[in-house]
Amino acid sequence: MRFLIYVVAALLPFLLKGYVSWLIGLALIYATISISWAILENEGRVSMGHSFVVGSSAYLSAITYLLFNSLAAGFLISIPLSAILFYILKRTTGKTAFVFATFTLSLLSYVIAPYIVIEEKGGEEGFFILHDLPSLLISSFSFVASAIVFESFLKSKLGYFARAIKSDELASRAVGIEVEKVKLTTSVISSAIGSFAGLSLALYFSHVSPEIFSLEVSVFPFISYVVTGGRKEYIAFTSIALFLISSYLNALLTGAHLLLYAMLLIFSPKIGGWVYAKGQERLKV
Amino acid sequence: MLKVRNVSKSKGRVMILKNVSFDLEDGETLGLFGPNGSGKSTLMKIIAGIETPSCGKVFLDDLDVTALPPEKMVKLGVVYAFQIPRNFREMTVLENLAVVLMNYHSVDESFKLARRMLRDWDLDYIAERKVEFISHGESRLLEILKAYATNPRVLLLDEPFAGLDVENVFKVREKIERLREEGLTMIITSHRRRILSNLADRFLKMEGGKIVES
Repeated sequence: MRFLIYVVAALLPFLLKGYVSWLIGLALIYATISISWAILENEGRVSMGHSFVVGSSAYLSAITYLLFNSLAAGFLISIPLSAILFYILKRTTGKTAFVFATFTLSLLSYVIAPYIVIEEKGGEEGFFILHDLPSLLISSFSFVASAIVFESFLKSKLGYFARAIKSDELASRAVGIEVEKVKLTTSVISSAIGSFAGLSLALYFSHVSPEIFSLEVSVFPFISYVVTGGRKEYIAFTSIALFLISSYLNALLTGAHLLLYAMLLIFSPKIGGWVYAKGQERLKV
Repeated sequence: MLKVRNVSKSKGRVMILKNVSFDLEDGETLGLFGPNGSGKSTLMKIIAGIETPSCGKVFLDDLDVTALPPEKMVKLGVVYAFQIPRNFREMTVLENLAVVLMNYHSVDESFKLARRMLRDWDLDYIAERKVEFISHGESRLLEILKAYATNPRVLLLDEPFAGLDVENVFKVREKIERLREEGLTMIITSHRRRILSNLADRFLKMEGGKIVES
């Protein structure tokens, strides 16, 4: 059933026209970012700087496009780079400090990005990618592909192992789960999807700028997750809805969507707790 | 089968284990008893690879397995069931067991096998319940069952009767007796010897980090 909704959501931009079509296309990219985030969260790592994965991929794509006239090169570099970086971060910072480390990294990227200048291009204005690729098709495809990967991941051995690790790392090791292997694999999958979303975003706007490392990109998946009450299988739909609502609010009053995010974060324990409790009721046999 | 040689463990200035040595034969059940803080749990954790000794060695079939990580020890057949059950809170009872079996079987097979095992252990009525909604006794049984699901050669049960009421002590005891009848090699700890009677072939008493009676 969920798979059908994914396909319908991915088809929506083609069925609709004009600004709405464009907006839903963008919502699909944000949902892809959320999916990437949720894979990592499934294993217990809450990334507050997930924009780094997305941003570095988008930036690398733009830079390699500029240097070598190749988009694929950026994507191929960004996946292993993000995966290695995430893995090193986890190894060196541990579960709690991972949040701080990813956030700091994303902030650092935001600060550094305006100073990246290649052949008098880039800097604060970012990089342009002039292409004639079907951006809407790419964003829809990346959404459906990541959603399928996500659904398969949740039902796979890897998904169950990741959930066990999230619950109790030592207990997981004590029953023979190879924790480091699982972490590395989830890092690779998460950053691959994040990189894919970054590339889609760069192609969608034909431009990348330092804003791509913004806090908003980082907290968006977290807020979507909070709204689902921890039921991450619904994060893609929640993200699409949240993105559309926040865009509507932003259109009404510039920055109003940030107020919505703030409200959701402030009331997150209550919202999350309520949705979680509702979900648990049916499990009390 | 299992040899512990001169194992010591210190944390800061405190010596938790002092030169502990013993052998465990294939199919034998060893009862390890002693007061709280005598080092029983630390010794079990060292054997299982959860903690590392300050000095000394642990051998399994003459293979030096000292300080191997727990996941490697599980592969070698040495499994530890925690004193305070550490089940996976986000999962149902069935998923808790199935995830262990997934180390050896496919996802579907693991679920099938887990259902069968829960039925065998009279726990099928809580299969779909999340572990936070089960009793301490059920949680304890699940912890042991999870360890058993790894198909161990040596099962280390740390205080399996701690915090249980009489009825649950009886239930857990019955399951351990069953494992013993199957010929499983086990070490069971308790702070009272009486509770281990008829369960162990041999007893070791620990006090102040040393074996004081064997």
